[in-house]
Amino acid sequence: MTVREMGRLLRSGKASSVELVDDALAAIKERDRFNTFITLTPEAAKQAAIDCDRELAAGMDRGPFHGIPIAYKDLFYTRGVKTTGGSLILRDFVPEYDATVVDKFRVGGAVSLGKLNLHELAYGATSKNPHYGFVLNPHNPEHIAGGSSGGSGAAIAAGFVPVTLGSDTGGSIRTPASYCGVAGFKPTYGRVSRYGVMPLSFSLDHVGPLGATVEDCALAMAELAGPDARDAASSRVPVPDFYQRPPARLDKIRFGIPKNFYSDHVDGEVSRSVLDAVRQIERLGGTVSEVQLPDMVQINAAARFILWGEASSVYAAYTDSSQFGSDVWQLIQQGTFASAIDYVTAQRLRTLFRRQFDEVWREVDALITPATPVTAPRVDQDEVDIDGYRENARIASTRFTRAVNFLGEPALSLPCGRASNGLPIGMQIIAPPFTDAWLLRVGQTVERVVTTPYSRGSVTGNKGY
Amino acid sequence: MPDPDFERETNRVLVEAARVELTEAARNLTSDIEPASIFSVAPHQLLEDEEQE
Repeated sequence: MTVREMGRLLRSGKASSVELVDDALAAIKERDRFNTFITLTPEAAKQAAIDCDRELAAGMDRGPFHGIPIAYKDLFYTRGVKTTGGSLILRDFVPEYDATVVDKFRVGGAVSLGKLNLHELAYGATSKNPHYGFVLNPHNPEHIAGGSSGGSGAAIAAGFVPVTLGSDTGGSIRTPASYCGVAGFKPTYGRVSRYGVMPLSFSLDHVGPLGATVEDCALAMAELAGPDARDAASSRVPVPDFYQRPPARLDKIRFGIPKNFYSDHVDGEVSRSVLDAVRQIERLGGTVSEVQLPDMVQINAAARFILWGEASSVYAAYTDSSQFGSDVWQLIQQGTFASAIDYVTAQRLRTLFRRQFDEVWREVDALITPATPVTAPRVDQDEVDIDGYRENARIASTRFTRAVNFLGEPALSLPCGRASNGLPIGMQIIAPPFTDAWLLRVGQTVERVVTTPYSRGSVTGNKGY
Repeated sequence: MPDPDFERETNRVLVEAARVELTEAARNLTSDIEPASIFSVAPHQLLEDEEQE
């Protein structure tokens, strides 16, 4: 179910928040063989649901998330609740305060069920977490859920909750959304507060929602967006109306299909699904043209140096490799070989490529790309083979998402079909900075014509009511 | 058991390979291009502020 569908049940008296929470907890207990959660907080959730029901009965309605069960990636600070970052080094860490976004969701009436599994320290795209279990794909548990917000994607795909919160440093919201067949939104840099979120890379980290639908993401953004004096990168740009209805058609909207980079080494079924989506966009009146992008390989390389420098700085004090998964430890070590010159050069290139991308936005209003070049790799697969082109699964999973973190643009991943192996296929829509609300409206219109029922939300479903 | 020397050398080579792309991209940098500021303003806001000025 979506947030809106649950809200209707609550406001019509057909279900209570307590029932929604109990059903979700029961579903997790019965069916969670995907390792989606690290910590469940059933008692706190039930008490919050009781309070929500009492408020609603008294005529106090906090908005779309009033009484709705949600969950947080386990790197958002939650006061009094263990926050591990999916790591051993923080296995006993209990924050004394809530992240700004956790606070905002609570004020909006959302009921947290607990903390979701992730790639260790959010430093990876597979969520094969050696400490808390591999996050498996609800569409086929022999495949990964993607990452780093793997639990956030899988919990929605499994039908446990309609919305989760994730973070995205190189694609960590959009990749699991693509692999799990749900919607995932990385907002413009600065649009959503990072205060109380474990950092990985200060200038690449973004906070955003994953949802059963694009509308769920829009409703979540209405709760989350806004300035925060406690986040130095928080934006002063006024917050737009995320509740505005999506357009029926896409007339006069200029969609760009990249000539370069985004069609290189893409699985054939993924290409066809995205092209089918483009045809649907044209049928709705959208104008589609090819557009030349800046050198995305160079952008990805520069982004990698920023990630290496900033992440290795965050974990510089840790010297015991036995406390880390081997992949994460190697990435931290790689950062020690990146020089100060590399880092500053990469940040200067950011200025240059930012200017080049602003030229792209004079030609088109949005870009359409695959979210990932492949569907979810198998759990035992370290490399993917794309028509003979072999690539590390982690690198492939973030190839089409990483640059957008470097640039700061908002980007939406939404399902646009499924492959013959039964796994969802994801497309990505990228738009200019601070067009977040517009992008989510366009995304809802596109979603109506491209999303297949199978890849939309629940695989096995909650109680039907 | 992983060989620390081998891992160290692998990591060094990986970073060196990425540096080739970075160096190529840096040929387009001119001395007036400063690093994007990561605090107080988002990268794209720098341009917006410049345009407003």
